[in-house]
Amino acid sequence: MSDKIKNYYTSFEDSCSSDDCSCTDLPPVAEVEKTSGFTRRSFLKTAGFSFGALFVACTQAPVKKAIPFLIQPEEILPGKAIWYASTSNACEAGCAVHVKNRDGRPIKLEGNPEHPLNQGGLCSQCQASLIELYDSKRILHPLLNGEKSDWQTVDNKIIEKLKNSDKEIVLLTNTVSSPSSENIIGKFKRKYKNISHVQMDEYSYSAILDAHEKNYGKRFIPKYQFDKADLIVSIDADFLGTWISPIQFTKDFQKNRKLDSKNISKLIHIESHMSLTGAKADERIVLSPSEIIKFTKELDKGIQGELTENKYASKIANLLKHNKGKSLVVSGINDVRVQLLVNRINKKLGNINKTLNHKEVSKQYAGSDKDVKVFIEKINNGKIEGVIIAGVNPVYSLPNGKELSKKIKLLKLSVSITDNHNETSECCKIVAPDRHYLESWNDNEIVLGLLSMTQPVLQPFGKNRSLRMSINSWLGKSGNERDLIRNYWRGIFTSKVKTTQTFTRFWNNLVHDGFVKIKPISLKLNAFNDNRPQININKPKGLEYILYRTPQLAFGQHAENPWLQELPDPITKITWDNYVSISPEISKKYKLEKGDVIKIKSGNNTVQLPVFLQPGQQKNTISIALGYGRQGTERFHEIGPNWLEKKPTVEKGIPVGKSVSHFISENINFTGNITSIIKTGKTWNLAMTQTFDSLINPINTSPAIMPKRPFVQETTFKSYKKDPTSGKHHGHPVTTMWKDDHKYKGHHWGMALDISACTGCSSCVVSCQVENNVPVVGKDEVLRKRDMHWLRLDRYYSGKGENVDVSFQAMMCQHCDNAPCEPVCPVLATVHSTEGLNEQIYNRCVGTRFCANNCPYKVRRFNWFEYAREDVMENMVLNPDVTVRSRGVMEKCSMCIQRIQEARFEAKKNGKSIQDGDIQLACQQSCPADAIVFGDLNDPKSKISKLVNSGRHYKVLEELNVRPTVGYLTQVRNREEDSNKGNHHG
Amino acid sequence: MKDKLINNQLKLITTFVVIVGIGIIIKNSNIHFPGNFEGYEPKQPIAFSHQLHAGEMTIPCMYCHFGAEDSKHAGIPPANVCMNCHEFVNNNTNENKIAEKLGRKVEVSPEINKIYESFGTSEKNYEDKSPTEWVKIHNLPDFVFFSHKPHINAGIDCEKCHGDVASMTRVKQVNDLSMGWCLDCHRQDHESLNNTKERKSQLQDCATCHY
Repeated sequence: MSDKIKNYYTSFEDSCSSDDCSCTDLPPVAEVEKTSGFTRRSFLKTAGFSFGALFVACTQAPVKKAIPFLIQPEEILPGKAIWYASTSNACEAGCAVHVKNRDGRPIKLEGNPEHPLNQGGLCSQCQASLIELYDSKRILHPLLNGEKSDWQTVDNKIIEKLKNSDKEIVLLTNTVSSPSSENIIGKFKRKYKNISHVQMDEYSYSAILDAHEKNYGKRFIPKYQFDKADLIVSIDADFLGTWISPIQFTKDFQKNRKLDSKNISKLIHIESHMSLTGAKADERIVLSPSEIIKFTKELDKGIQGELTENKYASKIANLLKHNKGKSLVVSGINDVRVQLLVNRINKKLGNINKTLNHKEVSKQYAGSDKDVKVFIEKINNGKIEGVIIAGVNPVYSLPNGKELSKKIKLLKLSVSITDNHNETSECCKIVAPDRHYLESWNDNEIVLGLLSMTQPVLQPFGKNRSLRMSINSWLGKSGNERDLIRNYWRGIFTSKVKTTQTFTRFWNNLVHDGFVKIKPISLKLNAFNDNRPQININKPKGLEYILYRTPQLAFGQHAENPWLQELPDPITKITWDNYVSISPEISKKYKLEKGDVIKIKSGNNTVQLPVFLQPGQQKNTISIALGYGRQGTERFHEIGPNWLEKKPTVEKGIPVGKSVSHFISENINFTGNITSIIKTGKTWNLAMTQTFDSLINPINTSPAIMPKRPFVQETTFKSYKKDPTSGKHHGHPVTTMWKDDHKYKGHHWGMALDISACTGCSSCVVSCQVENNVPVVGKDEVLRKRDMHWLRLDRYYSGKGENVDVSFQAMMCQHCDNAPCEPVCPVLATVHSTEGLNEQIYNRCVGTRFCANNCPYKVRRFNWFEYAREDVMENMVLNPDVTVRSRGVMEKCSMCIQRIQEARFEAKKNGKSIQDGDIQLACQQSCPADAIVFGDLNDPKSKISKLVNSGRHYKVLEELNVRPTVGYLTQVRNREEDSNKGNHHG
Repeated sequence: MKDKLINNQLKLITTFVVIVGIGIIIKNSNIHFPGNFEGYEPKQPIAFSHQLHAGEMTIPCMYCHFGAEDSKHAGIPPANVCMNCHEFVNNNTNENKIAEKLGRKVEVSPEINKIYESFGTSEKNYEDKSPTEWVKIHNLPDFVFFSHKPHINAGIDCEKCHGDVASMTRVKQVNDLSMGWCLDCHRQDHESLNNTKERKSQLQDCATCHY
């Protein structure tokens, strides 16, 4: 090789990539016939050009029509957004939203900042639930035996069956937190005596409810007040990610994590797989599921003053005892015994009505495993004649779903109320299509004493109808939903509200604000009835498994949502799949590598899934995500751009991922023991984003001596209090070749991201996607490193073995003052604004991709294709203020320039300058942890200027002297050890 | 030799004259580069005259195009705004006067009748109702963001871009709406820029219009 002339090749696929290549001779160039004068070819060239030019010049532009309203409603102005207050029914947590409506269609959801629960934050699922409204595969007509029907036929059929039933008919719903629905279900039960109502939650919180019933005589979930607790011990409760009401809890949790206060809360998290709460924890204890139960028992012993052998338990018990009345112990294990222990601990610590509110209790979840079990037994014994299923998908989410579907098919009456085809609707004779929450009226008492309102923001797309209206017509009544709810509240509002205001006023306020405080019913709890459960757990010999929910897909309720499927899992960064997370120990023992498909057996249950090596995983536990393998996700076969080498995201007729619902135990426990693991020999490609977007230098491209770059800079709370700059990387002296001749005289926009606050929930990623018309590309394109998210959430691990720390870093265009992308653009398509923003001008871009190559942060995204926009329905979600980029164009974070402009126009109208806080970027608005701050760096009073000067502020890759305007704030953990030790000094 | 030189010079002059001539012809004709619709004057479904309404009657622009102050679009007036006047006025004033003199019933103008027809023939028949489909004259490409709001609030006259609409019977696009034409204004100082932090240099940023 060395004595020969160097071989140049363009890619590794070229044959010249190997050392022994000998193809130095170029293939002979075809000889061109030399002729003189006007040849046939030049004639064709000229003719082609002239005809082309003529054609372009003489085509008529299409005539565009402008069609005004016939009678324009007073509040509607074309081109101007109207905002409606509403409540999200995307999940049971019931976060309050503001819906942005442009020209009659909702295009963005934002949290309602005044609402006491979510306080302005919104999760990724809720943000993404918007596109489900425009889903062209939604059921818009009632179906009878799978065929299109109309309401009258369907209603008559149902009423006839209801009247002539001799056996029980079960109304199976998700938790009903709407007072008016409860009322109408009551009427329904009174009219048809055979009806019984069973509530179930797909992911069950039954153990918490049951434990409280045993202890206090009432089934309820207390209001957990993470803002009031100084010490939080979470026993496998992923309250920042998926547990009960994560947005509310994140907001509350952050309130007691303000670094300028004297003390911040400490979070101890015990778990067996890596969750978002575990990633945020100040101390993370890794135990297997069976060990966790044992640990809880020992912890209870420690709290009650008995001797405990477990060193963790005794240590934590001591800590808890020091924080009596200021601590909070929560557990996410759906085992009544564990929940009884947790109640005992909290009682003993005196946390009741201090950190655990027993007055304004949560009504978000009320499902009962016992009731569901009884229902299943009855249906198996033929004691049930019919089912009406609304809001839940038991065939998918219950462990014995398959048998259940067979039984449902045999019933005389089977009605499914759903807005999408799902496993349950497939086996029901009648499908009564439900409405999307943006099309319907609803009232929710999510927490006792807080009434939230849902209002429609557009005309319904089809002839669908909500559960409330369906029951209403089965009661033989007609009317509209608004009047139904309004009349219900007219009747009872005097008993619910203290003020002397009229009902119309009360109602208008309720609809305008989206919520109102009402008098809560007194729960009348019994005195604490101590109930010490007997727990005897033998340590299992083999491996254990735990089934968890991811923050993006939960239990598969939103599996048909392309935005959520392509949202990388915050921890593993994998899209479009579920997998088995294993520890390196298991990988070594079974000789498994990433992507190896294994067959897992537990009792009679089996599943085949690819393997993923997860740092921080308990060494004898494997974990699998729920919510995959949902029927209906076969549709993603088509997703992504069509081209010659396209590989479908899923094979035809195969859903995304595999369902593991059958691994849930009979008592609805999400853990169990593995009987065997068998390597199948097959492999599977997992589409991971961080492997190519990470800023860490790949080993094979950088020399080993290259210093590690301090992307995440970390300190402890103690050190921070001594020195706010602690943990920060000492800057290298940078020599600059740029003159400092660009002064930003007006505004200078900048952003700061608090790594310490960020929980990794990924709500910003989806928010950005909705706001900026970012396309979905499909699994194959993600594998080709062509995902399009403008904002990505980098995840960094530190530490070894099970003791792994996780830090999240939202990475988007850093809007560098010395932007390296700008000088390399040959057509000046990326330039700097006078306000410090790096602008990407789509109509100038010719797609050389030099800029992306020169970007050290790897945040630029190239439109390799004209991404599928054929679905006219889905196109309605596009933001009309942002260009839809075409093929061959580079794009990236614009710092929501459309929002800056809008604020500027509004300020101009009022004759003012833009004030701090007038502009809220999409990512910033949705962030439940308030980790993103945006503002004017030139304004010394702005929040951002204060943060930049706070000592915690640093810039990523500062040594490159690109001078980004986006900065980060150091990660601060509330723990003992000194973080300064391992830091790299320049 | 000399002949050749003169010949060459003649050739040059002829070419020059031809090119300049073609240039002048193109400049004065309706031929435009693709995307330039200067002079576009489409026929509208109702022969609405701005000359009558804005010129003779001096109705302010913002009475009908009331969206301009607060929205991206100035807006085409909805039929109910037309009806504010045309509930009472159903024909030309001159015709009215003549009719009054002669004591005969005023005939409804066929053009105004189109507004009435858009509300439907009977009150109950909703299917019948359809708003007038006007032809849009001023079009910008999708990659340009333009909002009336800041321009109106800066005190820019409508005529500056739309020409003297008050004298047009049928509205015509009088400017080429090209980027250079936009920048001609954006490069100038304006009194509305004095009080705010936004200087005119900001108005020349690409992302003022392109995002």
